[in-house]
Amino acid sequence: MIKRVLFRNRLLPYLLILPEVLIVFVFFYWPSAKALFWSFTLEPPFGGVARWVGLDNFRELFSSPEYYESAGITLIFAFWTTAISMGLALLLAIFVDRVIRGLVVYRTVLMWPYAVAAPAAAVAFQFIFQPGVGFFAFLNDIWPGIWDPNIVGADAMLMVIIAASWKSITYNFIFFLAGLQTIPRTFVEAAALDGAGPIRRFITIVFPLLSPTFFFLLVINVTDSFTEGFGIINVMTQGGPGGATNILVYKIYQDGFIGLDLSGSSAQSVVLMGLVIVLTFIQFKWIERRIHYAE
Amino acid sequence: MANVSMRQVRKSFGTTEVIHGIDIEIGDGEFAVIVGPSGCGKSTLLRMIAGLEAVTAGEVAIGDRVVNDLEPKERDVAMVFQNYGLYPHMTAFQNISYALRIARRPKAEIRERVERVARILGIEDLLARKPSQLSGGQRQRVAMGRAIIREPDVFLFDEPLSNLDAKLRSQMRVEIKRLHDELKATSIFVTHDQVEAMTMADRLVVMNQGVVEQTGTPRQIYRHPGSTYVAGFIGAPAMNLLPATLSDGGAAVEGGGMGRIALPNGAGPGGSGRRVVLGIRPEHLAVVADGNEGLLSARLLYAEDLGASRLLHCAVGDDELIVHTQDETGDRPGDTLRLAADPANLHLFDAESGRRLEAADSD
Ligand SMILES: Nc1ncnc2c1ncn2[C@@H]1O[C@H](COP(=O)(O)OP(=O)(O)OP(=O)(O)O)[C@@H](O)[C@H]1O
Ligand SMILES: [Mg+2]
Repeated sequence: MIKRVLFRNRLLPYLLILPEVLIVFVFFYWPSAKALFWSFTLEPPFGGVARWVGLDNFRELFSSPEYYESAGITLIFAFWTTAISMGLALLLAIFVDRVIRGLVVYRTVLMWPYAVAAPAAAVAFQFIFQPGVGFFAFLNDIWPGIWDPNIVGADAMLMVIIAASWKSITYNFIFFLAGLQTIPRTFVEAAALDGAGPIRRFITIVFPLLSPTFFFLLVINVTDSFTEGFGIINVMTQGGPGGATNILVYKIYQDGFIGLDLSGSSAQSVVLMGLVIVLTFIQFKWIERRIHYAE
Repeated sequence: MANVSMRQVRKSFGTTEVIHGIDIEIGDGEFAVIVGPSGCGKSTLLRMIAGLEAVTAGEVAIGDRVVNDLEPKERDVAMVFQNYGLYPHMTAFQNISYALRIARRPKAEIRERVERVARILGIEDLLARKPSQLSGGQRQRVAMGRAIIREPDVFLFDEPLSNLDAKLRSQMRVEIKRLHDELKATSIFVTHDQVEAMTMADRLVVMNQGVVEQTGTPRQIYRHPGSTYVAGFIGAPAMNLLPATLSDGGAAVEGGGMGRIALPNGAGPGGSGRRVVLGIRPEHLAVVADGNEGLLSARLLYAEDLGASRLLHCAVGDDELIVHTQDETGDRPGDTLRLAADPANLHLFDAESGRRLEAADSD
């Protein structure tokens, strides 16, 4: 059923959506268009007239090994952040779904991390992961020097992946839990009578019925990890050590605002936008077909 | 094949007890119908047999095994749910074959068994469809297929016909009975529809608010309802229940707007003055000619024409009763009718407890 609202005043509906359109335009389309324009010019860092350089910025970008390295790091970061946060969120949601008493308490507690700002979470995690005084300092007591995200690139990567996953677990958890609770008990009970144990039931009944939620979260998480990792990396590692956590968004910021190469970073933004669009497209093309949407 | 017994079974949700100690014995191969009003605990009872709900106290046994602590899949029961519970993301074929696929039966065997079941149920052409592409009756059949393919010891049906229209319902009623005659598996069928209960049951269990009111064949229960509750619940239209008093030393009843009615074998339960409830089924009342020895004098309120017969709603004193008659009388609302009750088919109940009183039963 489609809900229709009738407006007498022909102008009113346009006025009502105007704020939304303005916000999207001012904060999204306009900067995007600007970035697109800049990426074809050479922008003087301290003002002045921009010079049209065609595809030079892109040519330079695609011949820089540093850029490919950053792209690779981004993929690793995005993959693990998505996998860990969705996996754990699903697991938590399955557990909480079985709880009847105190459900509200669990739900509320598990939602809190979402309310914590990324930099605040990052500061907390930075402390936790300090090689000398943090939670994991004991590792260094046993095997001296085994854990140091300030020096070892892989350790730093692991640290930002954990922090970023932790940030988005709650969001995923809420959606998974809501999704699980819409699955009628009858299906699970019928499967139990048909002889399926809990794991088979999850694989054959629950997960397929949860797949629309799963797909939605997958798209959101992948997109997010490409763009939202910034807050955490900026506080925890600044892309280091030695560029080990220098994901594309952070590189854009560094090259553009620290290195003042506005044109180069604009070109990077455009490529990143393209990459996110392509990834989303692939997900829709390959995964969505397997999804059962409830009629 | 197995019998099902419940011994002093109780069920509480939190602190609320909803099943208050139930004893039911269902023989091997019997078709038992549990009937009762909404909320009386029928589904809960069935779910305890299936293992979907824990038993709070008492014992549930299938065959000679006490199954209280067994998982649903270890009980060898199949259930048809009220809303069918068909897996929405699977085709009819996949739904029906689910249990066999879980049991990892060979592909060829699965195909053959599904086809056989589909043939029995007449759904061969629907196997490729998803539940959303099936009508209510077709879904019903697929749900039945999912149950019978497992060849279980016990079938449980939780109001499987309540979502169907009247015509389809009576058709499925016959089909389920026919299927039972074929498969001969013990079946427990829950319903709140007393027509289903009467027509399908080998053994009828009438429930009310978490207790069993009466158990017996439909005929026994129709003829000798054990309480005013059962009397009013089984049979349509419902039995007329009128307050009355024993007189003539217990040989007759009289009351309200009715005259004196002699009891058949001359001796009622208890002496004169005992307050009772007199039960007369609408079909055991007849309109008799004036001047005849009329037993009740009633004023016609309105008549319902059912085609083959008519229901006359009448007032007797302050009470109302219904007469089910096939005679064509030209009476109009407001007319006074003389009604005769068939003395062999009178029922007496205690006014306080509502329990049935037998003629010889004098307390
Ligand atoms: N999970 C539950 N928690 C608490 N109370 C419950 C639960 N399930 C059932 N009840 C209560 O138990 C009683 C019996 O419920 P049940 O579903 O067995 O009734 P029913 O006879 O099947 O009714 P209907 O004909 O409407 O299906 C009801 O009062 C109901 O409110
Ligand atoms: Mg029920």
